[in-house]
Amino acid sequence: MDPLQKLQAIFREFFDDPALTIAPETAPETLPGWDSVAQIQIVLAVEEAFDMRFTTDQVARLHSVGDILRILADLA
Amino acid sequence: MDHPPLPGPGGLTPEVALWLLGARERTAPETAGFLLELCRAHPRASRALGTALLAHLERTGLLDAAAFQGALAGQRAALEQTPLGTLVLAQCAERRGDLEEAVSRLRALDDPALPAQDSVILDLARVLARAGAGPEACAALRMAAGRSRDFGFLSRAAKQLARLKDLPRSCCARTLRVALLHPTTTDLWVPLLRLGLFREGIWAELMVPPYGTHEQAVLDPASPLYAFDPELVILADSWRELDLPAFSPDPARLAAQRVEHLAGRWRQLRDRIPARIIQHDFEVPAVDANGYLGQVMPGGRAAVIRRINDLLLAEARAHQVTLLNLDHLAGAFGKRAWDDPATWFTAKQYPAPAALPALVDGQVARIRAGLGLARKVLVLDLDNTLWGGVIGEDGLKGIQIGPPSAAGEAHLALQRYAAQLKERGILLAVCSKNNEQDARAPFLEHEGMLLRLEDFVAFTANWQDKPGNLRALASTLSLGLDSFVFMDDNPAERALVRQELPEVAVPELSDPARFVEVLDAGGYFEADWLSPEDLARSGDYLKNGQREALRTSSGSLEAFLQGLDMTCEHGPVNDHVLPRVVQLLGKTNQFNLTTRRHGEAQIRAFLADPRAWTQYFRLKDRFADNGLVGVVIALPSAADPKAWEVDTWLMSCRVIGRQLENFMFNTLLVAARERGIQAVCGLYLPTAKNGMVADLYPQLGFTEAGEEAGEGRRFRIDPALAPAHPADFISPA
Repeated sequence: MDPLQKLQAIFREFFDDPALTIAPETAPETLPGWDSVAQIQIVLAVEEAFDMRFTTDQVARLHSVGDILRILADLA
Repeated sequence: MDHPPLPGPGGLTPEVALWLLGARERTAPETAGFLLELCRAHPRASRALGTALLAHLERTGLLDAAAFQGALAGQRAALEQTPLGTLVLAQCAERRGDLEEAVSRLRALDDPALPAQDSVILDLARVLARAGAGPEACAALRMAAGRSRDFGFLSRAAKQLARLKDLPRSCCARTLRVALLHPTTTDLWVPLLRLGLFREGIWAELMVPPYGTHEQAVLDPASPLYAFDPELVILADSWRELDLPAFSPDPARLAAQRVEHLAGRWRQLRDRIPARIIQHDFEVPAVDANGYLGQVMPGGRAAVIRRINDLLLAEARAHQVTLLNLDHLAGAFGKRAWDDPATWFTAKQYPAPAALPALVDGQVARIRAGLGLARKVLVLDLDNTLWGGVIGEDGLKGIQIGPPSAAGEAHLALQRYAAQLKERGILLAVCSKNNEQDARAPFLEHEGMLLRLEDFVAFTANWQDKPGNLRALASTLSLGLDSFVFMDDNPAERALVRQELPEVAVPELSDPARFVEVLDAGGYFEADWLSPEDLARSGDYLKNGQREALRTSSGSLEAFLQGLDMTCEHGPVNDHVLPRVVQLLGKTNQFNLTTRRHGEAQIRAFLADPRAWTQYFRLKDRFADNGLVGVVIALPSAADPKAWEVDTWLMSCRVIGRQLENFMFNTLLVAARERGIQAVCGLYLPTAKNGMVADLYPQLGFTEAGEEAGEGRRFRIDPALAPAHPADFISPA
């Protein structure tokens, strides 16, 4: 399953919207509800789904779906 | 077969399934057929797998293709036979907008006989909400909230609850205005607290001062906190704000200073609002540069925090503040996991998100206890719950209790825990599907048994359904079902009770070794303080049985009452009896004319008003001290200074039919005459449970004085003319 698909499942779950489509450009500015609280929960959900931990520095610089994908790609 | 053999369920992860699905070109019917094989290979309705499959079909454009839809429709009957297939069909139905089909498929999956499902209940709640079935969605969420202690799961449930806006309020028996004062982030915490209270039938209006203003909120009389007028203030301080040095030269003074600061806040609050206060104590953090020295040297940080906690406990008692023992909660959870530095540094989140459910459970237990809502009865199944094995099949020699069987030791541990609950006044009862004789045999003849028949206030062993048995038990004990906790190893029985009797708490059990842990973590029986009534209670209910025997043997009611040798002590409500009075106000449902759930603060306000009249009643008889069992509160009428309104009149069901209500009425009349009151006005507000007192006032000679706002009935009586009612068998203490 490619990471974007997997992230999409996480976002659909979190935003409770089974039809939600995300892209690398998707960011807090373009996705209503992606606020600072959601950010923490998304980070936790991604960590659980991908069995990894973000560093504190990475979390501070997460501003879009693309940012998450880049970090995941670096791990692979 | 067009693929290698499918891996076992453990190996069939979403990745593997998708790889297999995409490994070669397939026609639409072939894909539908392969989907069925995957569903058959996996025993559970795994949401991760279902969601992944659907996403793949969506991405390849197959999902909406007519050819694939047709092929899928042909496989329907076979797919329905598998949990995963049912889930996929439900997801397809939801996508199509056929919410009714989605609901019925998800309901079929939410079946305890199936292997554990991943949070299907949340899908069910979501689809129900989308379909406009709000109350059903609320019921599903309430069930979900009791099922898991996982942060992610509960957060999703809490989000759904928030989306239902004000609807869940109407599903709750009561509301509570709560202010949560915490030095840092509460965004993840607040929704879980709301959900935790919702689970208990309490709708919380929550108020949280903005980040970093919790001190000002208390100090500033014009702060939004006071405008909000909370009934409960939770002071959720944490160890970082104590700002303790790693090593302190004057630990006694430092600890006293910190505690004085907190006590000062309590006094500020008390001066301005009559709210109940819950104060967190302080976690002794796992991390300490001084390590062992920090614990053993008097000036060490750990030693100082322990000292602060001890002082805080004494101060809290003196100020009638409830302490939430955070250090214990953190320790039980595991301190290294409780405080997660990563979420602290990035989000100022304390404790760690994963620990929030445990913290909320601790808070909810304290809140319940304060409202007099702690549960009172532990109902136990027998086979595979109180012992290992099935007595009717395995016989006395075949069941396991205690060593050398490991399972037997686990069941014995539950017996020991139950016996300890009983010692502090929790009632034990048996509810088992068994022949009565079989069910009793181990208690009488098995030497490994710790619990004896006389430890139980009721023993139900028959083949009727358990919800019916529990209802009967509630009526025998004159207790509400909301005071019951039901422990049964059988998931189908648990599900039936949850469904039929949502007010009963039903812990989720699996491994007998964890029964005690699960029961303990639920905090069902948590009390704030132990009253003499609690300690005596178990014996009382047994003696109720003996009284019944006297009743049937003594022929007439008069002879029975005479034989009880009852004495009643009564007087104005005071500090000493206040906790018990508040407890009764919170939990008395049947003999309760107005069912007004006044809290401690409100009662204190009444006590401060010289024109108000409060009275508690304590009844003793030959068999037992029944303790404080009745409360009457009369307030001056706003319309007529010479009249009293009976704000509250309640009596515990344990003493119904003993003429105590007459005794209480006579006492009220005497007081009214002494104060020159010319009219006593009574109000009956009907609820689902207080039908027994609907005609109490007319029976006592009151005349009807009209409807109250279309809901209740008003009555009045002139105390000078009112006749006393017979209460000859009760003598004043």
